[in-house]
Amino acid sequence: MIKKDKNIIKKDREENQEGSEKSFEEKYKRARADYVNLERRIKKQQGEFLKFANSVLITKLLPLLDDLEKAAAMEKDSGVSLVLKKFKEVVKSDGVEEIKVKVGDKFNPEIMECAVAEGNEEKPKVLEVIRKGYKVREKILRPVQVRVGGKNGKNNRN
Amino acid sequence: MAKIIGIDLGTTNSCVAVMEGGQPKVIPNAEGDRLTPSVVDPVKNLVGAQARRQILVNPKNTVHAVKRLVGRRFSDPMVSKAMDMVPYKIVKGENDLAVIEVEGQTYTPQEISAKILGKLKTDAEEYLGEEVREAVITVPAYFDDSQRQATKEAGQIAGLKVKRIVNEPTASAMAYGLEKKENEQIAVYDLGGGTFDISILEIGEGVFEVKSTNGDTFLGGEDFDKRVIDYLLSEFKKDQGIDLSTDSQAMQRLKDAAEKAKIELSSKQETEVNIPYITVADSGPKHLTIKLTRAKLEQLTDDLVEKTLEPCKKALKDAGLKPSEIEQVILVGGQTRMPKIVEVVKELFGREPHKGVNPDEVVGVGAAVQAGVLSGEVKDVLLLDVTPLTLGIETLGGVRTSLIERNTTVPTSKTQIFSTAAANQTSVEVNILQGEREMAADNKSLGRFMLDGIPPSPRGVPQIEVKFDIDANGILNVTAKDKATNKEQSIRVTGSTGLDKAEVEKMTRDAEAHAEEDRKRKEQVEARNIADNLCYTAEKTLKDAGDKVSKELKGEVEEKVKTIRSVLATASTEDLKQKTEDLSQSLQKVGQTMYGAAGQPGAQPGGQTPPPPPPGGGSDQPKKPSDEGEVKEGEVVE
Repeated sequence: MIKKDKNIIKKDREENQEGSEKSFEEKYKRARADYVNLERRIKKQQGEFLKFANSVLITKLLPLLDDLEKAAAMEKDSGVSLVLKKFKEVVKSDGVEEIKVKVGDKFNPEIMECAVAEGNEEKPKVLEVIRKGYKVREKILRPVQVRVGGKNGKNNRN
Repeated sequence: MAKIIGIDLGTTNSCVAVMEGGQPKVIPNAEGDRLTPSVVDPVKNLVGAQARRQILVNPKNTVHAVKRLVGRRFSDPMVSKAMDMVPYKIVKGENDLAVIEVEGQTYTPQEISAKILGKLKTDAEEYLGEEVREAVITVPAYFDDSQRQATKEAGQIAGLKVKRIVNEPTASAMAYGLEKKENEQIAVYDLGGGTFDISILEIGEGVFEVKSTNGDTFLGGEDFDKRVIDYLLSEFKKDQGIDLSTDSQAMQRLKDAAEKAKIELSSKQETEVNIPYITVADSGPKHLTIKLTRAKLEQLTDDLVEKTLEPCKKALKDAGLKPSEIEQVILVGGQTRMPKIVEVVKELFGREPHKGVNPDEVVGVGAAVQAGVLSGEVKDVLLLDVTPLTLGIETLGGVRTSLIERNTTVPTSKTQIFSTAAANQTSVEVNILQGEREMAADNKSLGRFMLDGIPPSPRGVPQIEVKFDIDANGILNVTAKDKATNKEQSIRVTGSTGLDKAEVEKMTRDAEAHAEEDRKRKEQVEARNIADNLCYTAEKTLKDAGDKVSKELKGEVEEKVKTIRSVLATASTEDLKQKTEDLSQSLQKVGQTMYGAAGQPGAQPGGQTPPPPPPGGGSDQPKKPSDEGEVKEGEVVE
């Protein structure tokens, strides 16, 4: 079963040997181009960084938000709901928006991730939102996790 | 000249990298991720994460793990195995080859792979800002000619000229620069998300030869995750009597938490899986909190780790080598971050594995290195030197002022403007220093020279431009120029970069050891400079003010100046700061009086500017040898 294969690097090197003298100008140009491109990219990234500076931290905080949502739904006391409200206000102030998905929506992989599928419908619909999704402006921090299926949702997907 | 990109076209994920400035760099995709899932919906034309998200919804349209089909005949046992595993339809195509059927239309595995390659190409172009036409693509070492040919075709369909097909273990070795070795035996242990591969390579005279390969196509990180999930489920059941496995929401949270815990245990000895409100029972909400130790994780996955050893031994046997004959060990794949894996691999080969390149990206990085060899970028890598130690000059009070920080890549140059410390000073001495200490005397002097002929003027007025320039050969040229007269002096110092490694280390260590005491000394000198400068300013102010200031106030200021001068060399930093502040207060009163008096027309002092507070400061210092650097820090020109 062992397949031997040779990988020749020396040859590649030698091929390049020819003409390597004449290409000093080319090398210089390439170095310049790399540099100019790097500068351009850094500028662009700086813009994006400012825009999305907090998204890494916020993404890490999203599970906490999930927990609070769960708690608020299960606890009778209104305290947790108040904490949740405050928490949502904080993330919202940084441009974080919940991706709105309701039961019956058509499945859209751009914003949704299917965690469970039932039935094998042509046009699958959302049966349940398993975990909420969030975005900052147009950047998806986390897609909405959904359970999808057709009208007579039976698990026969394979 | 256009770039050649390196592509790791993986079963589960793919990765693209490129040489940039002589270094391989992984290119993030449009979504910002460094790995792109190898998943395609050919009908909706979805590739990557979006396609993966719909695997369960659209199982028949979402093609994944297509690498298992590339270049294989329909009758190949691997194809029948794949057919059992994937929900999409695999049918017999032209020449008995396996093809995929989606909504009545057939696609060759090459066409599916081409969609992935196409996305990587587009993302790379977006990143590089230029068109990409050529690529190096990696394949498993056990791929036969037809599989390699099919991979090449996939590239062509995607609009890429495939310059080379490289073996994945070879690429991994190249990511660690092992192509420079001669006659060495290399083991590449690759434990990815779903497959395990072990390869034994030999490198000799610029040629990699794959001596043997082995592995397990159904063993990977996902199996490790599953063990953790099962453990958490059973613990919760034991504890609370509730079975979470039927609750899809709870399961999803459990899956995420299990993977997170596994990753955490690679760097920590213990972690807590904490999922509050995981479910609700009659008695109220339930929380899952389970402590997981690294030892427990190792126990849960012991047999999985063990399972990788047998193929290793077989591969060694096939290569005709003893473990001790392996000279280089490389770990590839995210799961190899697990300390236990590192440990068993180390034990087996009796050798520390290579570290440094992200194990998820090793293959892609290696492909980029090979691409760099092809484009001539690797061979021609300009080894740019760095200055191993900081270079600067001595300034007022024996302080070192740095111009070029350590580890700056050369060639480089830096210009800064300095001035004089005393009135009518006609020359400055430039003492060039190398080292990390704050005080001039503790650094190494590389040379010194005088710049004279400065026209007599008040202190702080002359502008002396000092330029440090290191060329590509590490030769340092220091030039000092008086901006008024354009008179200049310079010195050439050779070997400022070529320092003995031990010497650099010693100097760096010294600097660390003395950091605190140096900082204090520097602070003291600075306080002294500021105090002295304020005295000078005060005297000038009084002179300019003439009789506009009351005798009492004048006396007060003069008294304070006198006090400072008398203790300048001896006072503590704190004391000096306090006295300087006192003088400053009095001086402000002078300023107020003057502005009050300047109410009438014509009182504006023509050409006489209010006392400028020069930056830094200085005056005649006791002539200690180290105080002779009568230049002081000013504004940076560049």
